[in-house]
This record gives sequence, C-alpha cells and structure tokens, in this order.
Amino acid sequence: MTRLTQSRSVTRAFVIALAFSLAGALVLARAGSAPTQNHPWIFWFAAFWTLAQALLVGIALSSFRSSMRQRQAERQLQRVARLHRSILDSAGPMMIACDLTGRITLFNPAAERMLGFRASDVVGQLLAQELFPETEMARVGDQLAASLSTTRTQPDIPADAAVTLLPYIRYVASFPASRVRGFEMRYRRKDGTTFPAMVYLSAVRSSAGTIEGLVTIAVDLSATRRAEHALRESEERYRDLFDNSTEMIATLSPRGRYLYVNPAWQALFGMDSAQFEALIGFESAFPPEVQAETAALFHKALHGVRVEHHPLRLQNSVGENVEVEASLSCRREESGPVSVRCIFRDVTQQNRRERRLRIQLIVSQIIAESTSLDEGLIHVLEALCGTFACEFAALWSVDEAQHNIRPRIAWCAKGRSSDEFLRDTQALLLARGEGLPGLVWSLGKPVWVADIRLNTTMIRRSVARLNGYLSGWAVPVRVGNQVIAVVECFSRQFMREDPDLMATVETVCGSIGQFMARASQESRVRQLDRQRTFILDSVADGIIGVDSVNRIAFVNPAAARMLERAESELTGHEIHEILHASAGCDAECAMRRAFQAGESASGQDVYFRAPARSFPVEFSLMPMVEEGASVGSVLSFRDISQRYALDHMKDEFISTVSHELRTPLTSIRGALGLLSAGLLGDVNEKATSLLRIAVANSDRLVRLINDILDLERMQSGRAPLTFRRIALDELIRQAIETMQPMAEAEDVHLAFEPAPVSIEADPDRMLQVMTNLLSNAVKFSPAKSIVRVVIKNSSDGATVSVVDQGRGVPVDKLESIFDRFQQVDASDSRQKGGTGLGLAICRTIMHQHGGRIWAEQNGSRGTIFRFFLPDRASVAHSGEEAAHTYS
Amino acid sequence: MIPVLGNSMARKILIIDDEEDIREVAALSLETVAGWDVLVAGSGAAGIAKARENHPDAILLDVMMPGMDGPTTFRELRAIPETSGIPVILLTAKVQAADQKRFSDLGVASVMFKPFDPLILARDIAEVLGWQEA
Repeated sequence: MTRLTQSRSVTRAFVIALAFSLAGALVLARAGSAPTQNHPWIFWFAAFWTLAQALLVGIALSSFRSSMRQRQAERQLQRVARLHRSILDSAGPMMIACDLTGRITLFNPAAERMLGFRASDVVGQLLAQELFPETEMARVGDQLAASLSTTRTQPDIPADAAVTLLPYIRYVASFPASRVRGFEMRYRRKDGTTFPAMVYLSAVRSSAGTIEGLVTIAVDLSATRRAEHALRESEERYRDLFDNSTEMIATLSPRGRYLYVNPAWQALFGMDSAQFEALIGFESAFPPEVQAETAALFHKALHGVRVEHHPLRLQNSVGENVEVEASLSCRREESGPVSVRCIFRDVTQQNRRERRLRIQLIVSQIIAESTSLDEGLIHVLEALCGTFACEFAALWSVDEAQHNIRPRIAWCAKGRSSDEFLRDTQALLLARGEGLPGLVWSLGKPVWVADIRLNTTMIRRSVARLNGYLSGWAVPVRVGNQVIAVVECFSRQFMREDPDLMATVETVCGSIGQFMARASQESRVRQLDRQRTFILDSVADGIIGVDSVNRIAFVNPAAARMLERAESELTGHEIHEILHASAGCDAECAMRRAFQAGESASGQDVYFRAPARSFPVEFSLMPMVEEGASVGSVLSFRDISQRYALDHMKDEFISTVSHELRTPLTSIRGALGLLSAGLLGDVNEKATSLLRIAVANSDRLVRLINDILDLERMQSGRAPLTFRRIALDELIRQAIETMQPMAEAEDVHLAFEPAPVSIEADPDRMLQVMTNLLSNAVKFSPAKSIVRVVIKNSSDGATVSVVDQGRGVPVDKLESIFDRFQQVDASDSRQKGGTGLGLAICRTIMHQHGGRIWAEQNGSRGTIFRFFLPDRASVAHSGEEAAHTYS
Repeated sequence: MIPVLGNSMARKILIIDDEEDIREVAALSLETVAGWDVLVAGSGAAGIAKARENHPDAILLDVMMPGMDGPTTFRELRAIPETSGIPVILLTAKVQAADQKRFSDLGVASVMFKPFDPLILARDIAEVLGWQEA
C-alpha cells in the first residue's frame, strides 16, 4: 500500500514538473526574441526552469526506478504465491481453511490424499465438521474451551460464525497469531474410517485484525501413534519383565537412595517401595550381620568395580534363611555415576541342592573308601564341620542293651583348643533323654541349640562356653526306625536354626546309619566267617563248595585230607573229575547228575583219592540258591571206610551168628519134629507132650532169631524197600488166607470188609505187617470172637484197622507195645509164642513207608491196631535216597 | 496124620552137608516122610564124587562148608557133564538178603533155609522141583 501511494505522488510530481517544464520552455522562447538585459527575470526564470528540468529528470528517474521496483515486487509476490501454492500442494500435512461459517475454503493435495476427498468436491461444498467424526468437534471444542482461562478477554466474534467453531475461534483468538498450539483430533476419511492427527489451528484475520476464518494444518499421527504404542508396549514389557522377574532388582542413586525396587526385591525384605525410598542407605534394608558387607559391595560398585555373583546369606521377611548372589554395577555418564543397579538372584534352593549333593557325595566317597568304621566316621564328622561351619563334631553310639549312649568318636578343628570340651564329652555316659545326645535319642529327631548359654539341656554348656562354642545341633542316626547313634556339631558362631541344614544332615546321617549298619554286618560277617572257617577247619567231615558250573570253590582241611591233596590242588577243578576221577562214569552218573541238576541228594558213594584208591563215603549234597537261582552246591561227606568195615563185620557177625545158631537148631528142630510126629516109632503121651513143647520152643527160637535179624536189617537201612503199586485189599486178603489156619485153630473168625485200594508200597513188607497184626489179634482174641479188618481209602492214602475183641491194651501201654520186647504182659511171649519184636518190626516198616501205626482201645473190650499208608509222596524219594548206595 | 509121600517114584537124593547131625536128620526126614533114597556126603568133594557115581535126582547142598563151600561145589557140579543136569537146592542157615541174592544168582533150583521142618522138607523139595509125588 505504501508503495502504491508513493508511486502516485511521484506521478503527480512528474506531471507538475512536466507542466512547469513546458511553460518554462514557452516563456523562454518568447523571451529569446527580446533582449536579455531588458528582462533580468528571464535569467531567474531560466535558472528556475533549468532547475525545474533537472527536477523533472530526477523525478522521471525516480519514477522509473519506482516502477521497476514495483514490478520486481509484483514478480516477487507472484513467486511467493507460487511458492505458497507449491507448498500447499506439496506439503505433507493437510492444510484446510474455512470461513467462520465453517465452509471450507482451502483443501490442499495432502488433505485430498489423507481424507480421500477431491478439493473441488470440498471447497465451497462441505462444512468443516463434515471432515470429523460426528462428535469429535464438540468433544475437542469442549476441551479447548475448558483449557482457556475465563479471565481472558472475549474476542469479537462475527455473529455469523458457526456455533461448532466458536470454541476453536475463541481458542485461536486467545493466543497471539505467532503462537499456535497443537491439539489432537480424529479426522474422518471419505470412506468413514478415522485417524488421529495433530492439528495446528490459526486464524485468518482481516487487515483490521478481525478473524475471518480458520486455517488448520494437520499431521497424520497414525504412524506416530503406532510408534508410541510400540514404544509403550516395549516399556510395558520391560516393566513387566522387571516386575515379574524372580530376580530381585533395585536401582539406587549414587547416594544410596532406593529409586526403584521390583516386587521380588520388596518381597525379600518385606517392605514396599515407599519404605525403601525412605531408607538412607543401600545397606539399611539388610539385617545387621550383613550390613557392613552390603555397604562394601555398594561402595565397590559405585567406584566402578563390577560386583558379580557375590554370595550373601540373609534372612527374608518371614525369617527364612536366604542365600543370594548379588550383582551390582554402576551406570555412569560424563558427569559421574548416575545410578547403581542391583540384581540379587535367589540361589538358596540351588545352594541347598548343591550343598546336599556335595556333602552326600563327600560322605559317600568317604564311606566307600574307608577301610574301617571309625576311620570313615572321623572323616564324615570332619566333612560335616567343614560344610556347615562347625569346629567340633562327635558321634555317639546308642547301646540299647545297656540303655545308654556313649561317645564313639569326635573331631575338632585345628586352631583354638577344644580340649576341655572334648575331654568332658569323652567322659560322658548318658541315659536316654539325658543331655543333648540323650535328648535326640529319645526324641528321635534333630535338636538345634541356637545359643548354648541359654540351653539347660546341655550338660557340657559351661565347658562349651569355655572353649568358645555358641551354637550347635544334634541329629539322630537311624537304621530303619531305630536310632543307633547321634551326631552332634558345635560352632563358635551363632547359628540360627536352619531346617534345611537339618534336613541335609539327616540325609547324611541316613548314609552314616547305613554305613554303621553295613560295618556292623561286615563285622558280623567277618565273625561268622571266622566261625565258619573254624567250623570248617575243625569238622571231621569233608566239605566242598562248588560254584554254579560245578567247579570247586572251597575245600575244608578235612576234605583235602581225605582226598590227600592240598586245597590249592582242588579249587578250580570240576568236582566230578576230582571225586570220580577213576570211576569211568558215564553221563548217567548219579553224582554228576545231582550236581548238574542243582538238587539236594544224600546217600553213599565211592570217591577216589587217586586212581584205583577209592574210599566209601556217606555224602550230603545241598544246592545253594540265591533269589531263586542256583549259585552252586555244598557237598559234605565222610569217609565211612571204617564204618563200612564195621558194618561188614557186623554183617559177617550176624551171618555167622545166624548160621551158627541155626545149624544146631536145624538138627534139634528136625529131630524133635521127626520124633513128635511118631515117624520113628511110638512114644508115650507124656513124651509126646514134651516133644511138642520142645518143637514149639525151637520154632519160637527160630522166629526170634529171624525177627532180631529182620529188625536189625531194616533199622540199619540194609533192607531197602521195593515200591510198586499194589492192590492193598488183595494183599490183606492174602494175609487173611495165610492166617486162616491159625485163626481156625484158635476158633477166631477173621472178617474183612474189602474196599478197592491201589497204593504204592513194598508188598512183602506190607504182608509182614498185616500178618503180624492178624497174628497178634488172633493170639489175644478169645474163642468165638471176631477179628475184623477194615480198610478205608482217602485222598492221601489208606488206613487199615485190625479190630479184635481180646483182652485189650491198657492206655499206658498203647504206645510202648511198639518198642522191642515190650509186651502187655511179660509172660506173653512165653504163653503166646511171640518174640516181642512183631510190633517193633511193624512200626519200622510203616516208618519206612512214610506212614504210621498206632493202637487204640476198642471201646470196653479189645484193641484196634491201625496203620496209615500214605500214597507215595515224599516217601518215594526217601526210599530212593535210601537205596542210593555206592557200587 | 503124618504126611508121608508115596515112594513109587523112589527118588534118589544126595545131601551134602558138613554137619553130620543135619545130614542125619534130613536123611531121616526124607527117607521116613517121602520114602526117598538118600545119599549123604560130608564135604563138597565127597558130594561131587557121590553125585558122579550115583546120579541122584536132586542134590541138597549146604552153603557153608569148610574147604569147598556150597557155591564152589555147585559150580564144580555144573562143570562136570555127568552132574551138570542134576537140580541143586541150596540149604543155608544164612538169611541175609545179600546172601540170598548171591545164592539165587548162582542158578540153583532153589534156596531153602535152615532150620527146616522135617515133616515138610520133602514136600517143599518136590514142589520146588516140580515133582508130582503121589
């Protein structure tokens, strides 16, 4: 405007100057025709005119320059306008202007891009509020209104301004044009989707300064929001990480004030953030015993030394012992330390595990490597002290038999003397419940003595104090449920009760218990071994142990002596090769089979000392079975050469006696028989009677000799049974038939109630039993009476009863009548012609059959003899074994 | 009453026993009860000689004799063609099982035990040898 006014003035001046110039030129032309001296004014005029010309030229020049400037200014303006246009077109932010009615007057390409409208569809067509979600302008308008101070002067607002724009207009009016503040709004695209934008609002003002419209420059915040969101999430994550970390994290100022503590840290100390913030130093949060240590760590970190995994033991808020690894480091900037970061890692469980494993490993090693119990125990005690910071340890042995507990072994750390305490400990003999060891024995559980001075249980507390002991504990050593010992340890430091330590020590004591039990067993085994060796060395029987492949594992001196070889010559050899070396056995060798089968066997055999030098033996072979598997056998044998010779002599003797007795008896019996039969001529009645007596007694003498020999043979095992399956009822019938003449002679009726019974037995022997019983029954039955034979079959055998109606057997003799020469009446043998050996023979035969025989009273009259014959069970084997004799 | 066997067959029996009493009782028994002809010998050697000479129907041979015992005598008899077919019954006072088995294994017709009943001796011999006596 100023330039325009100036231009007009210059033009006006130029016109006036030009008029003056023309007028001047006219005057001068007239004056040229008249003398100059007559017209002095002409001089002045000419001068003035020249001046006017000069002025004119000057104005003209000035005007030209001004015109040039103006054109330059216009060009400048056009450039600016183009610049503005290009800025508008190329600007990233949306630029939207509207008048006060809200009608949009400017809509730059960025706005087109962002909102999806074309400028031509918007400018003059849409209202500003149509570019926002429905309530957005009102919402933001309320916020803007609320942000404005009420004391501000209200600007003049044209009456036609749209209501929705009022808060915005007031807002921009409240700041100088140079101060534009942004706020966030959501725009709505043409497709209805919305996005956040930072809006910078300014006013379009008239030259008078009145607001004529609004201009918004808006920047899409979507990307920013995303970035912020990501950042926030990232921060959240870190915070979450810290807050949920099991590691304890704290940040402190260089002065030691707590700046941040995570929940784990808070939980460790049982304090909240505010309480930490109130603390004056890092160490203030810690228990007194570790304050100096923690202060030193902080100081170290503050001075640039990185503290890593420093072990700390402290108690947590609930009094539990906690072991942590402390790592501290300092964050520094150029100005110096900014903060100290502390990270504590709870290694309690890990340390416990490691400690437990370590001490268990140590104890296991000690136990494994120890050659004696006491040597092992002393090392275990030393290891316990080393692991649990103690200086004295003792193991007390429980003596259940003596009802007391006594120190077995003790260990003291080097250094300060424990002499008095050790001496007093060694001198003690405590009853159950007495003193610390006695108490632990009776309680069967660990006892912790946190302060020996205050413990009245400890008999040795004064001497313990004398040697500087302050705390201690004692733990039972068990085998099963039985406390066999007590381990006690004492420390010169105060030790708070530590259940975990106790648990660890209890585990170790379990190993000690096993160690002691094992040592005790080993001692017992050694003792038994000594006894075994003594027994094996001293017995006269040869004993040979063989392994699972029948190689000789051990030989006692008697066996070596009998085999006439050194033990070393025998061990390792196959048993059969040694014992039957020259027997020329085949695969059927009973001995070889017995060893191979791993079965028990006994009997007689012939062993060889050397080729062709055999000796008879009686042997017993017993398999050794462990957990169901054969691990070898033990053979015991005795040289029965002498007995064999003796038996042979006996046999010879019996044979000879038998022969020598029978030979004269044959003559006597034959002569008497011929005489009494009257074959050699008549004899008178008295002589006949005497001859009959002589015949009967010689018969009795023969029977007696036969019975004695029979019984001796059976009882010495030289009359083996021959088992076979027989019809027992048929055998009884046969016996009855045999006895029938005798029964008829005595006028006794033999009755049999047969029942089919098939059973394994030696038929000759069973016939002998039946004949004996029937003979007895008939002999002792009155005339006209009945002897009944009853047979009863059962699942496990058969019972045969011979029932008579004779004079009966007194109760007190029902058993003794089975002994040799034991009859009911001493005169029976004479009167009844018996030998007194019949029932003894019957019993022997029944025993050989694995059965039994007994007598019962038959009511008020008579006797029942019963025998039970089992159906060949174990009897068969014993029979076979009995039959196993050397060849 | 007395079981006297018919002598229609007139068996000839040789008794070899070192015990004269037994020889006599047995001879008496067989002669009187069975009516058999009885020859006697006091030793194995004498017995063999008599057997070769007389060819008895059977020989009753004692086991235990001094010098040549019963089994040896039996083996000799078996070895001599003239006597090898004569049935031999061992008569023994030994009743041990081992002895019995040993004697049975020799191949004798039977083994009889002392003391014997003189009244049934001949019957037992006849039964053992399968003689059908009247």
